Amino acid sequence: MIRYELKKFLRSGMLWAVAALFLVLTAYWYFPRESLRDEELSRLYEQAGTVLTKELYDAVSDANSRGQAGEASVRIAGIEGEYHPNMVLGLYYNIQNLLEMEERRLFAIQQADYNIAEYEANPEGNEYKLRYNRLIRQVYSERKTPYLMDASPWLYLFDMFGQPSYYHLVEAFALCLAILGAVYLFTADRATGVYPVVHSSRRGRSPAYWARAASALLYAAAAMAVFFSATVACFAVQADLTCWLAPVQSLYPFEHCPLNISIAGMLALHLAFRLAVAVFMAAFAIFASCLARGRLLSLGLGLAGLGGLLGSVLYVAFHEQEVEMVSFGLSYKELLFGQAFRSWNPLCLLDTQDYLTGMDVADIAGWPVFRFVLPLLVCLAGLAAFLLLGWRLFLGGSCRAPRRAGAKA
Amino acid sequence: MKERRRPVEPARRPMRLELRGLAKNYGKKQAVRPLTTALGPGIYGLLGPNGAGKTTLMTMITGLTRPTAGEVLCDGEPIWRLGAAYRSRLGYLPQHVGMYRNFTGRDMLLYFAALKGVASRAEAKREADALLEKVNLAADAKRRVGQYSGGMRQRLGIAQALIGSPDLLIFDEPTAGLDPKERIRFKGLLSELSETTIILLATHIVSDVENLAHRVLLLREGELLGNRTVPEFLEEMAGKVWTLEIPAAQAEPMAARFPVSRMDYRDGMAALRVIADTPPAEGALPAEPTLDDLYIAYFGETGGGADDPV
Repeated sequence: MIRYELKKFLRSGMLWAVAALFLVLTAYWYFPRESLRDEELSRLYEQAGTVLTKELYDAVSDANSRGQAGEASVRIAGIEGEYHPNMVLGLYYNIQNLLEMEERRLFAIQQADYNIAEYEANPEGNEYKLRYNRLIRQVYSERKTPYLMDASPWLYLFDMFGQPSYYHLVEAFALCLAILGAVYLFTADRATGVYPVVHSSRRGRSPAYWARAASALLYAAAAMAVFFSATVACFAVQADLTCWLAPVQSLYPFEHCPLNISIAGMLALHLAFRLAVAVFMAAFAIFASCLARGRLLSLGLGLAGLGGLLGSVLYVAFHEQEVEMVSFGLSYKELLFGQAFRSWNPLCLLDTQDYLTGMDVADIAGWPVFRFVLPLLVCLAGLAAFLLLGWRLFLGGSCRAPRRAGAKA
Repeated sequence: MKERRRPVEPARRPMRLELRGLAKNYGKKQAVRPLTTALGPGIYGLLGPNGAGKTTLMTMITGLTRPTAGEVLCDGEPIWRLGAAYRSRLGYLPQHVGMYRNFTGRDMLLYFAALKGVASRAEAKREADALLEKVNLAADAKRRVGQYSGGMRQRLGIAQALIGSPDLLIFDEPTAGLDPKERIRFKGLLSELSETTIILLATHIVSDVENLAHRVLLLREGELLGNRTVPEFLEEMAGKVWTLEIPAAQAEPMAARFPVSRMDYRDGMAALRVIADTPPAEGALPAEPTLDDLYIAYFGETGGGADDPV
C-alpha cells in the first residue's frame, strides 16, 4: 500500500512544481557567485600533507621568517614551488593552532584527572561533577589527531548552515514541502470523495493510515535530503571540499566538539538532525490534517506551526547570542525558563553547530546529558504523539458500538 | 514445468444481515427511525424520495456512520465488533463516486484491491483486468481518471465495488450517469451475482427496482414502510389504478384532486393514469398497477426514469 501512497506524490504535478521552484530558489540562493578555489593554496596543503611533523614545522617556521622579512615569494624546504608570504603565514598560523589545540587537550585531560581525584576523595554532593569530568577525560583522550588542511571551504559551508536568519531558507523550503506532502496525502480522500469507499474497505482504516503516514514521512525525509544535498552540491561545485575523513576538530569552531567524528560524520549529523525535524513537522501536519480534515485549513495549521517554531529559532539566535553558548550543566530552572527554546524546540536542531562547538551539557538527574539530546527526544516523542493522535482522529467514531446499543431511539 | 495450482478456497456461506432497531438522529431530526429487518442473498431495492434516509441507512450498514440506536448484525455478530472482517465482505458504491484524478483507471482498481486486502499483486492485476472488461473500460484502463466522463467514473466505481467478490454489495444510485446500454449491462451483472450476494440498491429510479429487485424496501422520512416483493406491494394497489382520456384543459384540475402517475398530452387531449379507490371520472378504465403507481401512492411524486424504456 505504501507504493500506491507514494504514487500519489509522484503523480501530483502541483507537488513537483513546488519542489522544482524551491530547488531553483535554493540553487540561486546558495550557489557561490565566485569560485572559492585557490589553486596555489590547494597545492601548498597537498604538498604539506595532513600530518604535522617536526621537519615540516621547522621548514614552515623558517620560510615564514623569510617571508615576514620581505621575500616576495618563499620556498619551503621539502615542498615544491614558491608561495606568497601571506600564504605561508596562514600555514604557519594553522600549524601553531594545531599545536595550541594539542596543548589545550592535554591540559583538559590533566585538569579532568585532578578533578576526578578530588571528587572521588569527596564524593558527597559531587556526583554530577565527577561524572562530568569523567566525560571530559573520555572525550579528550579518545580524540584523534586533527589534520593539517585548508579548512576555509569547510568553514564557509558550516558557517552557512549555522547562520539562522539568512541560511535556514533551504530548511524552510524542505519543511514546507514536507507539510504540503502530508496535507496533500491526508486530505485527498475527502477532497476527491474517495473517503466512503476507502473507509468502508478492509484495510481502509489503520493499515491505510500507517501506510500513508510512512509515505508522508518518507517524502518529508527525501525532500530534506534532496535539499540538503543540493546545498552541499552547489557549494562543492565552487569549492574544494577535501579531507572528508579528517577529524572534525581539524576545523577550529569544532575544537571542543564532544563527538569524536569525522567532517563527513559531522555533515551526516547535520543531515540526521534535519531529517528528524522534517519527519517531526510531517507528523505534525498529519495530525493537523486528521484534525482539520479540510485541505486549506490543514495547510494553514501546518504552516502556522512551522512559522511559530521557526520564529522561536530566530528568537534563540538573536536573543541568546549574548548568553554563554556552552554550559557546564544547565539546571532545570534554566532548561525550563532561561533557555527553554534552545533546550526543547526541535527546530532548534537546525542550528546544529550551536550544540556541537563545545561541551554543551545539561544536568539531568545528576548525569551530564548533551543538550542536543533534549530537543531530539522532544522531536521523537512529538513524532510518536502526533502519529498516534492522528491515528485516533483518522479512525473517528464510525465503526464503534452504537451510542445506545440495543436501546430504542 | 510444474503447473502452479491456485489454492482452492472453501465455499463461503452466504451472508445474513440483520438490522435491529437501527436508528439515526441528527439533533432533533430523525433521519432514520428505528428499523428492523433481515436480508439474505438477493437484490433489494431501497426506494424512496430524496431525503427519505436511504443514504444514511446505507452508511450505517457500511459502518461509516455510527447509529444512534440499534445495530447491524452480520451472521449474528455486530459489525462494529467484526470490524475489518465485516468490511472484507463488503462492496460499496456511494452516491457520488470519487477517484484520484492523476491515477489511471487500472491504478485505481489496483489501489482499491490493495485496500480490500487482495492477496497478491498478480491476483489484483487479474481481477482488475477482468472487472475493467466487465464494465467496458478495458480500452480506457490506461487513461487518467481525470479524463474520464461521468459515466466512465460511475462504471469504474461499480468495478471497485466488485473487487474481492463481496458477500454484500451496496449501491447508492448506481445507474446515475449510465447510458441505456450500460444500464442493461449493469443489471445483467447484478442478476449474475444475486444468488449468493446480498445486493442493496438505493435509488429513486423506479424502473431499476421493478425490473431487478427481488424485494423492495420502501423508505419515507426515515421510516421503513415495508420489506416485500414487488407482486406483494402491487397486490395492495389492485383496483386502485385507472386510465382515462380527458380534454387537456381538465388535466390539471384532475391532478389536483387525485395522485397521477402519468400524464401524456396529444391532440388537445390528456391521457392520465390516476390512483384512486373508485373510478375518478366517467370513462375511467381499471389498469394493471405498476411500481410507479405504488411510488406515487406512497410518496405523491413521480419517481425518476418513469419514461425509461428498460
